[in-house]
Amino acid sequence: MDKRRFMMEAATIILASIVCALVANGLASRERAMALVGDYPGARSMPARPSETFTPTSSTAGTSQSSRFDPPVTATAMNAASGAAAESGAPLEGNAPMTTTAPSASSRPPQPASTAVPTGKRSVPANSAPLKPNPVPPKAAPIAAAPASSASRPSQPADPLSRFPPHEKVPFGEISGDDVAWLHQRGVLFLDARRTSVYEQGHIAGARPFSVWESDVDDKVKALLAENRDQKQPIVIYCSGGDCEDSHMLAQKLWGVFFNNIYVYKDGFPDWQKRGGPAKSGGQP
Amino acid sequence: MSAGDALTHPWLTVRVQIVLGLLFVAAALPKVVDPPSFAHMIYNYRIVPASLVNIMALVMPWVELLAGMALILGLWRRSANALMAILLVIFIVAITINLARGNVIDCGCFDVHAAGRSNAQRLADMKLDILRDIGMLLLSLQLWYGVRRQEMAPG
Repeated sequence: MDKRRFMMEAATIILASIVCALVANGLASRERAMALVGDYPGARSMPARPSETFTPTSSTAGTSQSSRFDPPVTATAMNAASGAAAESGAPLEGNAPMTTTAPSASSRPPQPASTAVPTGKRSVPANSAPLKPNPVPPKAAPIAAAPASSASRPSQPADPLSRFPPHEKVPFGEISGDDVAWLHQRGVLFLDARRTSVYEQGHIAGARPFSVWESDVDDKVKALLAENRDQKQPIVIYCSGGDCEDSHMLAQKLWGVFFNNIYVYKDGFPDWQKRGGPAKSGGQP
Repeated sequence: MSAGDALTHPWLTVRVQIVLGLLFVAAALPKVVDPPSFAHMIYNYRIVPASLVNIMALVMPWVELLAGMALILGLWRRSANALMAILLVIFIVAITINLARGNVIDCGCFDVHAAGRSNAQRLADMKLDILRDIGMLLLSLQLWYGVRRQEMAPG
């Protein structure tokens, strides 16, 4: 067979594939379309493995959480965390397990020009202590028992910042279902990093769809910035738990635009369902 | 008839050609329909630079689809088959690398959604995926020599 012809045929198939891919992507819905150049931190690095176990150091008023709410937690307590705790002025500690993970290359990308937030690059300090939550309020109620309306909520400290202060030098902290329930009861912003099609099948009530794999993620980030939210308020991001990293990727992205108080629900939506937390289906939060 | 003649017989070659084509079309369709999920799968391999993940997820399924259709239709068989063989080698190497470094992944070969299986099951699946791809590579090899025999045949 003519070698030249063989090469031409192969090249034609590849070129036709590129054209078809570009046309299909151009015609695809926002949920199916992608940016041509991906932006995924750690695409070639292996997933972080748990390296240290964090044991909660203090509890409040001698209370303890129900056993289903305090499983032993293996945490990636990263060097970077203490800078944030020190900067916040109050060491974060509590009886709910909380872990922090600072991705290996955690430096912020340049601030987009369109946003009215401080610019600059902050690096993660070394040799610091793990980030810990502030004391948990007594008796974190089971999620299922959480009242729907804020008027009937239990008299717990209302300000999430008191327990979850900003941590500017750490992209995100990993928190468990107890902390997530506590924050959910206080109306903190929840973002669902899973695919929109999965979000529509069921999500944490009030959570917004925010898939990192879909073409409109940057538009959503910009829209979030345009809301002029207080960037020190906690934001909870979740995906499917287990080895799902979508929430970590989204957290990194938001930290990059100076959202300074992001938490990843490490066990994700399956855990929320197990706990009987309020959930919704459909495309609306 | 020698073993070589039997293995490259046109009767066998045309069937291998159609089976390979169908397998590649079947593998391509879920990825063509949902490129972001396939991009997620590629990301999980931890081999491809971030900037190439999306473009690979967009183009690779179309190469599979067009090459598969070419084989089914009997067009450009050698070049389509060569592209398939290259893809199969890439898949085998990628899965083997992750198996060697203990990174448990879903193959993303025929389904782009995580199967929700345990790590042990997924590790076993990865080994089966490698065996399946080696099997397909052998089919590709048969097709290569079968087509060459047809082209070299007098008349």
